[in-house]
Amino acid sequence: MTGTPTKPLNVLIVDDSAVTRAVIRRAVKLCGLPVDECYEACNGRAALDAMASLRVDLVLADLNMPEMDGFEMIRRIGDDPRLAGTPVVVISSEPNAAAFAAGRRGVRGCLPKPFTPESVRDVLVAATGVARD
Amino acid sequence: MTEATTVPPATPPGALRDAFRNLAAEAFARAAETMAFVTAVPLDEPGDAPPDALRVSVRFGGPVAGKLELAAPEAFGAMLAANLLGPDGPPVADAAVDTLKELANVTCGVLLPELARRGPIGVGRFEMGVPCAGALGGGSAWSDFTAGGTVLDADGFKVAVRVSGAL
Repeated sequence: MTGTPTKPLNVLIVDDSAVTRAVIRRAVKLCGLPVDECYEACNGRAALDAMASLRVDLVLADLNMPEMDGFEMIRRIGDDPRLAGTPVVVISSEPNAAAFAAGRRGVRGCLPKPFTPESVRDVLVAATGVARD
Repeated sequence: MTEATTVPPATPPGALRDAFRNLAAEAFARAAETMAFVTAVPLDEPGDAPPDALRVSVRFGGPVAGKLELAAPEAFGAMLAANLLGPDGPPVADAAVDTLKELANVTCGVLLPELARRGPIGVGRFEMGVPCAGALGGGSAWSDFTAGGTVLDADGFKVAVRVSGAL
């Protein structure tokens, strides 16, 4: 995903807090990356359901969520041949988030909460390798 | 703001509880400042309960198990949500409660590494639960809550923070 022009990204934001999803959505829209659609899901199960029918180029995932947490969701993304190539960035207050992210195939970055819009931008640029508009 | 707290080993239980209480207050202040640009300063006295107070809790396990709890008025959550979403932000259902739960979540995430680093509980892997919210209740609920915690002034709102459990 480096160097040559790329199609705009479809981003999926997964967090059980609707306010946090809105904050991340705004940061994504303002970060300068070429973003087309910004989808949202309130837990891991809803995210996997969305990914079954939507083209998702990047997942921004919380870890502590009800019904299906981010740990399980990321494992299932990695185990699914159709989804395994989808990069994931973890955005979480979970103390073990960085250690989990470092050892997980497909996880391209980890951003601890609380975060700033600038840190969202920086981790997305690093994770996607896509030049900013 | 309290000074950075480090707890030496072989500390009497009362001092341990005070240290954890201070760490929880520090974690809340740091979370509120970074997350929503809110300054929180400890108060000397808890005073009367704020109106429409909610209790938000996050359970954790690991080297020690317990709960991080906030007691705050719903109006405080509404103010935080407005700070986060901005004047042109999208409408979000139950934004006030949502934001208080997220603040508790973030506070717990700030607190736990500090408990491991500066408290005498050793290295270990903490795990956090999902935040839960409900009414604090009337009667003596506020005084009972604040007896074991710290009350702070957060941009004009009274918020109480405490850590409870096997500490």
